[in-house]
Amino acid sequence: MMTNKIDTRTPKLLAPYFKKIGLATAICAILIFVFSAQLPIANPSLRKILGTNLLILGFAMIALSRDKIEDEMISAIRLRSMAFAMIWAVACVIIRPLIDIVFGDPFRNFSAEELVLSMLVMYLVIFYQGKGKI
Amino acid sequence: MKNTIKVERAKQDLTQQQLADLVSVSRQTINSIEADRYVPSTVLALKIARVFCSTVNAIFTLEDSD
Repeated sequence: MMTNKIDTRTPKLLAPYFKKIGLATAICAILIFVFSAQLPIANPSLRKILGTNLLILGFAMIALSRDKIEDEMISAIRLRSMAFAMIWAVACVIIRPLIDIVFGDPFRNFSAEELVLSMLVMYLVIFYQGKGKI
Repeated sequence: MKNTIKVERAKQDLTQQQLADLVSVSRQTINSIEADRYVPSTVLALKIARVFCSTVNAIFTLEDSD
């Protein structure tokens, strides 16, 4: 009867195979962190930047690639996951400095990379947990 | 919201996958609707009703808690 399995309310997302590319990228990033001492890159901060950015890129590709069947329920789970990630980010920005003030080290702030990475992790956890409940 | 999709499917001898293919969603979505874990959109409810040659009201019924 119907042939189109893509929910039109979902914004344009990456093709499903980007999940595998993203996973490979994230594994490469983790390997960079694990074997950072053996890498020919002399500057340790450059290694950290490279690893963190690759991890963000990998997680973003996993998060932003569509499922094989992207129907209305997946869209609802996606929306809920994004809302959780947003709430998480706001909570981190507001609550984290207060905790730091109470427990010391008040000048240490979340870097943008840490914040984006934590949002992506939160999004992926909630999204796959939501799909697992199906 | 309660529904009689499982009963209607049994009457027409349809599997969840076959119904999912007919209304263009995943089998998991049909499973979630049957288990009352997900409330379908109006469009999907109408598509399901059309497959069973019935009305939305006949398949989906509101509960007191809704």
